[in-house]
Amino acid sequence: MNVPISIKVNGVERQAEVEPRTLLASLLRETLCLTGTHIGCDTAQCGCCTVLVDGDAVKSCTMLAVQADGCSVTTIEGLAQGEELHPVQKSFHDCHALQCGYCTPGFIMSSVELLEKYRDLDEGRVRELLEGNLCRCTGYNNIVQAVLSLAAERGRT
Amino acid sequence: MYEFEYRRPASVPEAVEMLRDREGAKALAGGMSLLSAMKLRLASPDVLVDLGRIEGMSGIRLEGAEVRIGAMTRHAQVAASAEVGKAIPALADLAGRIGDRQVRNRGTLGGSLANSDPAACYPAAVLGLDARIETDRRSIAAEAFFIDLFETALQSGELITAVRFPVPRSAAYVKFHQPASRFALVGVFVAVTGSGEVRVAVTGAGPVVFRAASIESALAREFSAAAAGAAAVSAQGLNSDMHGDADYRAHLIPVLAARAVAQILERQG
Amino acid sequence: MSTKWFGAAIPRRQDARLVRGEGRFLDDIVLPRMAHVAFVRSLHPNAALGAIDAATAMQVPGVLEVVSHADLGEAGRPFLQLLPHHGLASATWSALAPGRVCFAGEAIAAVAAESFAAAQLAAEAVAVEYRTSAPIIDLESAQRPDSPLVHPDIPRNLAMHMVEQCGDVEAALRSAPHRLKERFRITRGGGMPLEPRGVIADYDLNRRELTVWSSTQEPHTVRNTIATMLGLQRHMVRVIAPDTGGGFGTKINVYPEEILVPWLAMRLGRPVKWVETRSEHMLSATQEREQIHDIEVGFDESGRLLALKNVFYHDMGAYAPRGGAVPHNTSAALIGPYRIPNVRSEIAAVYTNTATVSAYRGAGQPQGVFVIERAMDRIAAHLGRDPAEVRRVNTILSDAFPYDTGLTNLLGGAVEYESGDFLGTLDKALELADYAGLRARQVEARKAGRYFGIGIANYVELPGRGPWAGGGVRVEHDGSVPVYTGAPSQGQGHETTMAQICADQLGVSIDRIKVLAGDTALIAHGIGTFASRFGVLGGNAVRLSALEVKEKILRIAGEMLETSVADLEIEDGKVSIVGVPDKSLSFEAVARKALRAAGPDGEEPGLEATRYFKTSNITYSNGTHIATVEVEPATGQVQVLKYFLAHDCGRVINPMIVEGQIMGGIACGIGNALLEEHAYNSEGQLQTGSFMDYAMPRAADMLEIHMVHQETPSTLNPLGIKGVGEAGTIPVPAVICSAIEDALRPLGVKINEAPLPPFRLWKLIRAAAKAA
Repeated sequence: MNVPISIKVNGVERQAEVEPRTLLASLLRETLCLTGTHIGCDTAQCGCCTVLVDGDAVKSCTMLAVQADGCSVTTIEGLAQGEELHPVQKSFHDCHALQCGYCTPGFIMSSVELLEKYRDLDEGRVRELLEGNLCRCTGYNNIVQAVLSLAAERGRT
Repeated sequence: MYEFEYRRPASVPEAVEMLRDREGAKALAGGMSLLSAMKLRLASPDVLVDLGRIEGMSGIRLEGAEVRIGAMTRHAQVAASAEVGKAIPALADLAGRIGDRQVRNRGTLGGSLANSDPAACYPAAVLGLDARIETDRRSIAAEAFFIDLFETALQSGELITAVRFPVPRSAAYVKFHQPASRFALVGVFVAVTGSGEVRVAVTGAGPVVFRAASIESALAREFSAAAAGAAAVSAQGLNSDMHGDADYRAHLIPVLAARAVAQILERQG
Repeated sequence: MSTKWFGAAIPRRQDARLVRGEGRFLDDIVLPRMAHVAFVRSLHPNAALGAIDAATAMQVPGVLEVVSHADLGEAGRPFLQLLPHHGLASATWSALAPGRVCFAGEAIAAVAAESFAAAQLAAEAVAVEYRTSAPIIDLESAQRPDSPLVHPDIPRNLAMHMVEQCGDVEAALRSAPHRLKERFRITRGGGMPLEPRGVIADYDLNRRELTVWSSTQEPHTVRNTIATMLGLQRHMVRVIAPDTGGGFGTKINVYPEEILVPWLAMRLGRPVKWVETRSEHMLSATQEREQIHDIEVGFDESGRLLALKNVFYHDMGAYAPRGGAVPHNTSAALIGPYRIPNVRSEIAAVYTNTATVSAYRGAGQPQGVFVIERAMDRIAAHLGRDPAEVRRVNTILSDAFPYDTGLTNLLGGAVEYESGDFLGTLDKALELADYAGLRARQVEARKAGRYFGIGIANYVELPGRGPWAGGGVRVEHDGSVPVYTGAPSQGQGHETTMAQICADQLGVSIDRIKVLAGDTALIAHGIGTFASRFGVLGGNAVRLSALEVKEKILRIAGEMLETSVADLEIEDGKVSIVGVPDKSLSFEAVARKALRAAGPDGEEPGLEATRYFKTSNITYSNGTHIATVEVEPATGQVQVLKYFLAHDCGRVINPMIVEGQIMGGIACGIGNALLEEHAYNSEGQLQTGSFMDYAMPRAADMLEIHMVHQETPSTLNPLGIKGVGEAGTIPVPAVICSAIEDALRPLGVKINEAPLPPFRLWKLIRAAAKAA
């Protein structure tokens, strides 16, 4: 039996009737055509599907769409303001923190929360806090750098 | 995953009723283990009873010499809680190292305990601190709660509502990661309770969390890292897999216990 | 030629869409009326198949079709053997298992349905009758006469037996002042791209045209194979590799699903999609690295190698889609940067009932480097000499190039290093690491009871493999410059590097250039992106095309400006007369003129060229890595502390991208050294079916890396490029294990295997303690 849900996605109220087994990731990708959220595993390890639900980074492959009913969801598509990239997106580009780009949306969303919630970041702490995302291309160092450079910028202002 | 029916109760009694209503019904807390199992088609409940919207099931309160944590409190909340950080820093520390940041934003205390995964971290704290598990119908001592692999004292349809952690004099948790899953290959929680009892709870090593009696008695004689590290732990009945056999796990228990004791002593300065 | 763009750290052009989540990966593609596929995969590693009963499955609502091998006809025959080595006992896979299965996870039947959920449900309902046999999993016993057979027609499971030699090893060993024998072992891992595989096929019945999207490194090979297997003309098949989420070799093969899905699309008359789950990937995608080496070395007092004899077993897994390419690479990589006058390398490659083995980043080379570098450490220990010095006395000197190692490469030519400064990278790395300082630190650490070790490893990489690659360049009438190639990028950055090469060669701003890749409609022929080859070969092909277009621009402009071509120069998309900068023509003007077909001497219209760069050779990159580690004997945990390297990949197109390739490669290598392992139990069941058991390197497993570049141009191509895609990975297991053994020297622990997750290292430490 389908369940009606109402979710604010990237600032826009969306209604849908979903099968209870629909994952939040599938709702975003298939129903709402927001394909920037990727699926890389089936055990909630890789983090490619990371989105923000009410400001918390979550793995949207391990959350039912019905659980997000009434919540506010931000996906990678919701970060840039028109032509202007979100600072985290820009920092990933500037630091060469992506290669194939498949894990990138998940890493960026994860990093947005990280920078939002944590202060006093150093390299070791950032590496630890990024443990929920896998990248096979970059070797992580430039990703860590992309986060640290924003943290440093924040420290200066 | 297979199809199922979705229910969303507004209260604990309603949830209990829904769970009692249908044999194949299962409670959904954070879903970190249950949804993963369902995706891999290892679990197929007919009905999912989502506890996510029940008022009052989450929250942290200091009540006298106890910290009461609601069953639906997320790991991230426990990790960030000033109350927990002050009263039982080892518990906040443990919660802050479960899974990863995204998992901690969804996973809950009650969900973890009800699942009784042999490699989960929370059971070590619950047993190590001699906590009590409150359900919709009773209060269960930690010793009586964990029965076996994925098996607890919970009756069918019984819901954990909160856990009461007595504030210890001191405690520390040391976890050795299984390299892939990041669960505990072995995790050791050492606590000196309010009454001065030394408790050592071990997760990851056996089919279910247990107390390491040999280390406890060694520490009762002399509370030092050396004493913990020198205690012998039998490999009998411990888990074996590609990430570590029973001997390795048995060997790690006193090694990690010694580190936990060292942390406690260091904190006491 | 000025090199305004080549060599500069140009920001990547493809990032703009990728950071916005606007990449278009395979699973993002949705076609109207698209059906979905799920596979029934074998539960057993070695079995004959009996009845396949789909009656229940067909009852599942939404199911369109259930097919097994018997339904496929000609499309079900085994694939053609790629790279058929001399003497190879060939075994290739089929679109669905033909009557028997050779590994647990092999596709037996396919279900097409209206949704993936329905297909998956129905796939579970397909009943398969198995007549199981004992599997052969163990590499070493696979050759025994009493071993179970993976393929009944291949005796002793022997896929390939090959001997390479130069000099007289036996005589040199007999007369050598010192000899050592060792056994080394490396186990399996996987390329593990974060985007799993996937295929979509759409057949246009009216036009008889088949369009296939595949997450592949080789769209042209996929096209050619589909055409052959499905009996279509090549030009009626178009294969597109959309944005691809990593390849690492895992996506170089043409897989059974790449035939089955198009076949289903033709049969159903509607588009069909299959996207692999990670669990499925673990079971059925290719894996690599399992080898056992028995080596013997002879050397003199200074540590100079006189003879190297190596016999090794290589695990092929169930099939050989690319012949013996991987073990052959191991053999070629064995020599490294060293002068070894007498070499004998013997390969015994065997089939086992496990997932197919094919190239993963490094493709056999990490194993070869592991073996020779472990040997170097043992020689040093045996003689009580410094491991860096033993490497130095063996290193090929700069005046010896081109240097013929005496071995042959995959293409049948000599392994002949064209150029290099091998001592250069060794010295630079030692200096960068402050090697003497590290040794002093080690003395202090040991005094303090800490297990601190320094590892060192040299490597020679075999990138830039021929025979050819193509790249086209066009100048449009609006002045825009599309560059098109057949080889897609899986993160390597072709969209940027190919544009850099074209910009310089053509004399135009990079902003005008758009690189198009990964579509067989763009260019007639292609081989693909693998073996660190495309920068070398594709880059030089783009250069040839750009130069040809440039010549034509000059001819037409000369006519238009009524001046000799020799008096013209091109800069920033403008042709002008030398010394008269205000008299110039834009590329647009020249392109419009060319399109009016009014060029001189009846020149054909347009400014366009498609050229192929061909070579019968391989380029050779090299480098030296140094790492320090600290080992915790109580747990077996290794902490990598510092990492230094000097590398030489010839001329660098884009240092930012090169450094990115190396850092990413090192992470893969750290996985191979410390974490990653695909394990099968003796029943042939995979123990590492998900990321819950297959340990991937994470951010905290990596560390700051210090690197220096050395540029010794290749003499084999005009751009002097050597290739770099695998350089980061190749020496890492060797250098980390070198450091671990060095750290544990006080305990007498020998490291002869990789990877070394804590449990395995702890067992070695315990065994050494018991022996002591």
